[in-house]
Amino acid sequence: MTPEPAGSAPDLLPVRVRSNERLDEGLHLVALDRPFDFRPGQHVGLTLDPRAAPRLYSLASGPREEAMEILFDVHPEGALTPRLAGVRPGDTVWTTRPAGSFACDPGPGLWIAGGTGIAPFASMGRAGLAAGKTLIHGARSVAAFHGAAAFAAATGLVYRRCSSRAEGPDIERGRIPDLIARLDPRPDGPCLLCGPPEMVVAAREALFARGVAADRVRAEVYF
Amino acid sequence: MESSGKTPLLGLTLDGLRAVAAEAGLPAFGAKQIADWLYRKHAGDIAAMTNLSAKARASLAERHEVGAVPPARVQESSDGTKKYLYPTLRGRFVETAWIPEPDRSTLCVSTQVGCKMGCLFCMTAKQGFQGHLTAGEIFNQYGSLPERDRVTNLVYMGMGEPLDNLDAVLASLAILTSPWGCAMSPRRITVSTIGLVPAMKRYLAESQCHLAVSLHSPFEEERRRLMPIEHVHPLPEVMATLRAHDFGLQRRVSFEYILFRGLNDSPRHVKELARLLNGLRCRINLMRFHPIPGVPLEGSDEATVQAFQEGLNAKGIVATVRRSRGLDIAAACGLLSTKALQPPPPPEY
Ligand SMILES: Cc1cc2nc3c(=O)[nH]c(=O)nc-3n(C[C@H](O)[C@H](O)[C@H](O)COP(=O)(O)OP(=O)(O)OC[C@H]3O[C@@H](n4cnc5c(N)ncnc54)[C@H](O)[C@@H]3O)c2cc1C
Ligand code: SF4
Repeated sequence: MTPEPAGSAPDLLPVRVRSNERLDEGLHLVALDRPFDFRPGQHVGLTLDPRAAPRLYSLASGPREEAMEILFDVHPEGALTPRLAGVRPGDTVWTTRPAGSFACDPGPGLWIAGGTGIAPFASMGRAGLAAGKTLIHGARSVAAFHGAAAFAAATGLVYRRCSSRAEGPDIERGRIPDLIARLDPRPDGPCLLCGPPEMVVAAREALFARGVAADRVRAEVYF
Repeated sequence: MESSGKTPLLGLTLDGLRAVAAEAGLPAFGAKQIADWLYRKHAGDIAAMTNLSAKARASLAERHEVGAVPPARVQESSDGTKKYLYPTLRGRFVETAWIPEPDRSTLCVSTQVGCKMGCLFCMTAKQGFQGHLTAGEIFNQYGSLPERDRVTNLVYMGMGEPLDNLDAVLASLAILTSPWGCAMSPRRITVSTIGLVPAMKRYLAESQCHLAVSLHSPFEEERRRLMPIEHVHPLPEVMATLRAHDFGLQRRVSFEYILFRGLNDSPRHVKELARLLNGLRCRINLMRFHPIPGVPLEGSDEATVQAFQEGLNAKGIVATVRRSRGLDIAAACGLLSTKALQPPPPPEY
């Protein structure tokens, strides 16, 4: 495979599905051939029908890996995800080129992920950007904590996960804002948030309540 | 709002009404007759559509209802601005602001219950997303407004990002502007967006109404902090789309710019805005910010607002300062107290 340089042309490229893993009820990890380079934190537009408007997905894999991975929730009434959940190795999916400026610098910082919003941080972690960071990861079930083992083992990363429903020895009880309220010491460096809008808004305000300045906070919202 | 199980007619465009008319055994022109009752005569009931045969009315009423819903609540400000709360089909509420002025009267309508876009400065963002409005629910905010006949301008700047609900927005605009609908001039209607580029392209191609783009900073890094959409559709992409579109002489693109103290209100911003908008026939609406709970942003002071406006004008950019209306009832779009009325959002994150 010879990756093409990252571009912003909206043309769709056909890519081959390598695998489709069901991680939990309504949560899938799909691996695709990677026809281009991308930066951790970027997303692609995906569709099964090149005439239909693509939906956007953060790339969850490392930028130097052979395959590119997409972590997604199935929206039962959605146009794409119920069908995407049924793809098989060898099927074709259409992708836009990578885009987006949700990016991270090396050094200290706070990452906050809700549900599939862990995807860009998984990519950043696999690109070697985890050292010095604290990651707060919220999910609905034990199986939905994608990448938990790798995060827990990552050198220099403080990994804390929480859920209001799932129970486990290292899963803290409560939602992300509750965990932010308990963070000690106070978060340092840039704060990146990613996930559903409700999480982003609540977590952002929890950060402000801890005295974090607004100009240190950036969010990728899965609208 | 109670659901009768019948399908509302309000919100159907002529194509939709044709199918309904055929189903009720009406002749081809029956669709236009129904449209006339719905969108010109504002009939509240199918029984009132007296130029349709009794049999056709009975057949229509078996499956359909008009679907007009009066506001559930109103609050009036000392300056005459009113905030209406309309119930929606799914038991939620949206707000609509009626803003009378000496020379014009503007209605500000909502397009979604809550919003997904997460802009830092926005009260609607704080309630999360609870659903799209149908075309009928968007139209109803105008159609069932007590002051309907005094509305001179409509702005789609209430709760929600209109272009995230584009099909319903386009259908409601077709109803408002088509000869078979309210026959309103598209020059009286402005739809706002934070810059969802693919939807913006379709809107520009399929509607003739004005466009207002929420800008709030000419600098990408700063705009990212205020508006997460900047990560996905950055300003250069938005501006390139606008510059590539031929707006003609009548159609207008404008920019909304809320002034935040010490953040986006400096001479450096004036200079960069002038560069960004250079050569584009447009104007910029400057707005004062009124603080919202839990968000560390403040509005610029009066002297800064004025200096900013003068700075832009001096650089050849038409800049106006929007008057704050309805402050005592917090009637700026998205600032109404609907949050307490909405059922709690379901998602676990
Ligand atoms: C920058 C960015 C990155 C993203 N990254 C990811 C990611 O990594 N992983 C991820 O899972 N998501 C991600 N998303 C969200 C993703 O783009 C899609 O919005 C999501 O997957 C839904 O797509 P869909 O086609 O299945 O649903 P759509 O057809 O787009 O529908 C959207 C929603 O509306 C509901 N809906 C649709 N039609 C109806 C109906 N008739 N009645 C009731 N409800 C209805 C659906 O259930 C769904 O919840 C991202 C979004 C953005 C903006
Ligand atoms: S400003 Fe508009 S797009 Fe942004 S969150 Fe508020 S309603 Fe949504």
